[in-house]
This record gives sequence, structure tokens and C-alpha cells, in this order.
Amino acid sequence: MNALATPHATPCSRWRRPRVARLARLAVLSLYAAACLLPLVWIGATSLRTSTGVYAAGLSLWVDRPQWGNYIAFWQSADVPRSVGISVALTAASLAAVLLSTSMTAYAIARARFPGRRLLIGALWSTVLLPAEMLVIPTFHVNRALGLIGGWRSVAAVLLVMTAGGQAFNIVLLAAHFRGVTRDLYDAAALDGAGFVRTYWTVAMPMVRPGLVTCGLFIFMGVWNAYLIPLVYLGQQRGHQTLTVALVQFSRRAQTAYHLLAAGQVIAILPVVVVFAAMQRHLVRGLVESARQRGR
Amino acid sequence: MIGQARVATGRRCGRAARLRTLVPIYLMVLPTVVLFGVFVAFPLAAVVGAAMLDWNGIVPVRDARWVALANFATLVRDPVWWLTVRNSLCFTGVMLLVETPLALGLALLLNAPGRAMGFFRTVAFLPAVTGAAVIGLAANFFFSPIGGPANAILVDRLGVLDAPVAFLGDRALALWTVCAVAVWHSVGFDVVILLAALQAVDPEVMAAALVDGANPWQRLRDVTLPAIWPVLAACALLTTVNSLKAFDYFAVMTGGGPGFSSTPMVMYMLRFATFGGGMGPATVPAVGYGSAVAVAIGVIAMAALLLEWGAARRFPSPD
Repeated sequence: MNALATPHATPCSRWRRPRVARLARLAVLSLYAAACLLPLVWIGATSLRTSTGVYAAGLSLWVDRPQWGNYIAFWQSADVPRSVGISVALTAASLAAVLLSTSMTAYAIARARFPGRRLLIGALWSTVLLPAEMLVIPTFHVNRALGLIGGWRSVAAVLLVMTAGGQAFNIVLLAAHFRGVTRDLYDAAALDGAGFVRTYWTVAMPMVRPGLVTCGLFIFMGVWNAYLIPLVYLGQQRGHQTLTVALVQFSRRAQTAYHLLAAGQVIAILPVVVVFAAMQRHLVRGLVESARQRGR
Repeated sequence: MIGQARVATGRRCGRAARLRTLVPIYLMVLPTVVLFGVFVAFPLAAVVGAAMLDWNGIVPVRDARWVALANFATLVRDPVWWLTVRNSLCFTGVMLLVETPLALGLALLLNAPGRAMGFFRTVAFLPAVTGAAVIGLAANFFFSPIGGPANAILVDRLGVLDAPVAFLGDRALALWTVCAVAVWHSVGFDVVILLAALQAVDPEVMAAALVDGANPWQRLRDVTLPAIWPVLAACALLTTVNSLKAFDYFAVMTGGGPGFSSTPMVMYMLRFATFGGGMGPATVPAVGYGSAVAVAIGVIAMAALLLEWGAARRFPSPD
């Protein structure tokens, strides 16, 4: 947009080339932006059409008479409010559990020497790129042995499995941030008489907030969008499913109700899109910082 | 501080003081150790052990029969398994050869000052934050032969096709349609990561290259690429492992079909588990065999990562 607004366009060829390049760049990026946005807008438009209107719409993104009632109809179909509640609760609980457990461990391995530290770091590092999906079957049997199958116990199993799955990546990311905190701050806390644990909570945690925000966004996205793990544990547990699992099962039951299904998709997509549009700057900053600190 | 605490009290009563400093540390790592031990380390050992059993997963495991490597012997002669390996490798290949270069190109275009760039950056990221399963549901209708916009473009608008095509129901097209959706869905994530790396490139080095009269291609090859190489390699590694374990897109869009023509490795593994329906093609309880498939997936993923890691290290790094 800036390039278009520049008023002093000189006909001299030395200036024309970058101008053409900039216009070409804008054109390509505009196409890309359209490719990103229009399918999402199309989902929104589909969610406001009538049950037969969806088939006649073709490429149109315009809705003549928006059917807001679709959202009410979807909301009132089996178990939807409950599954939204379970998704929200599961995401919030995972956020708290993963952030607390990984930040404690990351702080401990970044700041202290203790027997078993190298083993712990090695175990975490060696599984950071392990495909977690290959553990789905044995983990299911572990949960069955622990009695965590059926109703709310299955929801607890999902929470435990997802919290465990988040350990390696988030500890590696957060440890880099804890290592980046200057020694002087820790020394000052020690002089004030703060112990190891108190220093963690009152000094170190506020300093690594960008890292916590980055991790938090990844966890939020990972848990809210999760499909395979919730499907394994909750696929047979009607009334205890996350929104994504319930949505896919709804699509199997009501094969042609695309207008209601699209309303469900909007409900599933909107929270993540809104949070990320608002927080994107923090995510990038946290990523750059952790890359820089690991490079040291 | 820990070191100081140890020195200050260590002389008087070494053992007790050391214990006093160690107890809070172990309490802090305890949740991780328990969770990691029960839900990652033990299952990892268990899946290797279960791969040596003839066990349907329903009878108690002590009644299972030890068959050593028989499951793996069956696996290498299982044509369906190799078909699912091919499917996963095709998917991973498309992601590495199309998605990653596309992300790099878009990140290079986006790496410019200006308020418009901030808008493009946010928009680029939006598809990537949505769930694969939800996007798959939308794609089901998008590519539907009945009223789907994809066919509306190709048949009515452009006239490329005479009749609507069932993109997700066609043996030759289903896998590639899933690939296309996955590229659209995940390219924005790599764009944002690569853009963050590009913005950290030292502007002085770039200025020096400009003064030396380097053309854009030389600047890309000699300055930009070496500077972002570690991040680019990390992107490729993440894309590889995420693609090899892909399940959600396939489960929602094709269910692995028609036949096994779009079944990825993970979906084939789940076929032998005892979870119940909704996983893809009809399930057969054979947890021993399924564990062998799981181990094979892990081996393939590790081999791919090591291969890429070796290739990535060959490229001249800036330091």
C-alpha cells in the first residue's frame, strides 16, 4: 500500500524497476492473502445459508438472507453446549498443568546441578521429535490399567496424556528462556533471602513471560484443535466429547446438513483465530528470543 | 545461588544441607518425571515389548504369546502396510517439496517494512491456527461433487471439466487432494517462523553485500540463506515428522479410502487397536501387530530425521 501512495514517481528507469517489483510483490501477496482468507469467509457464508441454499451458492460469498438461526439449531443439537464446555475446560486445565510443570522443570535444569539432571535432559531431548502417535496404543492400555476409561475418567486420561505429551517441547523452549535471565537477578534474590522455589515464582517467572506466552499459545492451539487423542479416549463416550470430536461425529450423523456443520466449524475456529490475531506479535517475539538464546 | 548455599553450609553438616537444597529441586521436577515416565518412557518400552507378542489387546497381557520378531516378518510382507508407507511418504514429499519452498518464498516477499506487511503477516497465519480436523470437514464440502465450490470453478466457471469430480472419493485423486488442503492449511505456520528468522538477519552484513554489488540472487544465496539455515532446517525437520504422523486430515476427509488408497501409516496402526470405530477402515484387534506397526513408524521417522539432519549440516553455516 505504501508503494501505491508514494506521490513522487519519477519516470527515470532507475526508479521504475523497484516500483514494478514492489507492485508485483503486492500483487502476489494480495493473491496469497485472498487464498488464506476467502476459504475461511466461505465457511462463514455457508454457515448462514439455508439447507438447500448451500448447494446453489457455487462460488458466491454473498448471503442474501443470513440464517442466524443455524447457530441456534446447531447449538441445540445433541451435546453441543456440553462439548464446548469440555473443550474449554480441557484447554484451560492443560494450559495450567503444562505451563506449571514444564516451567518448574525448565527452571530446575537451567539453574541447578543435581544427580539425574543429565539423564532427565537426555530423555526429554531424545523424545522431542519422537512421533507421539506411535505411543497411542500402549498409552491407552496404561490408562485402562489405571482405571481411567469411561465418562469423566476418560476426559482426565486425555488431560494426562496431552500434558505428558507437552513436556519435552515446552521444557526445551522454556529452559532457553530461564538460561537467558541474568545471574545478577538471581543473586539479588538470594541476598534478599529468597529460597530456590521462591526465586522461581517471584523473580524468574515474570522474566520469562514472553516464553510462557509463546508456549501457552502453542498449548492452546494444540489442545483446542486436537483430534486423534480425544477421539481415542472419547470417541465412544457420548456426552463427554470435545467440540472437534463431537463435530466430526455430527457430520457423520447429519451427512448433508452442511449449513449447520459450517456453523459448528465457525464455533470451533473462531476462538483460536481471535486469540492468535490478537497475540501474533507476542508469538513471533517469543520465538525469535528463544532462537537467539539457544544460539548462545 | 545453589552453589553458594552449598559452600556456606557444606562445611558444617554436608549431607543434611545438601539434602535440604536437593529436596525442593526434586519436588519441582517430580510432576514432569512422573508424567513423562508413565505416559512417554514406559509406553515407549511397552510398545517395543508388545510388538513381540501375539496379543489381541482384549485378554490379559500375561496370556499373550511371545512371538519374537514374527510380527515384523509379517509386516515386511504386508502389501497394505507398504501402500500406507507410500501414502505417508508421498504426503511428506509434497509437504517438503511444495510447502516448505512456498513458505520460504512467501516469507522473503513478506520481509519488508510497511504497515501492509503487518496485515499480510496476520492473515498468512490464520489458516494455520485452525484445527486440521475442522478444516478437513470444510474441505469435504468444498471438494464435494454435489454443490462444492471446487467443482463449481472447474465445471461451470472455467469449463476445464465436463462433469463434477469426486475429488475425495476417487482412488487416483483422494491422496493428492488431501495434500493440497494440508499445504494450504500449514504453509502459514512456516511463513511466520521463517519470517521471524529473516527479521533477525544482521542488516550490516546485508548492507555490505549491497555495497559489494551483489545481485539479489547472490544476496539470497550468500547472505540470507546461510543466516536462516538453522531455522529453515528446523522447519523442514518439524514438517517431516508432522507429515509422517499425519492422521487428522485423512480421518476426516477420506477415512483412508477408497480402499486403502489414502490410508496413512498412523491410520493403519490404529486399525489394530481396540479403541472402537471412527479410526478409518474397519478395525481388527491385534495389538501385537499394531505395536509392530508403531515401532516401524518410529524407525521410519527417526531414519528420515537423521537423513535430513545429515544433509542440513553439509550446507555452509555462517559460523
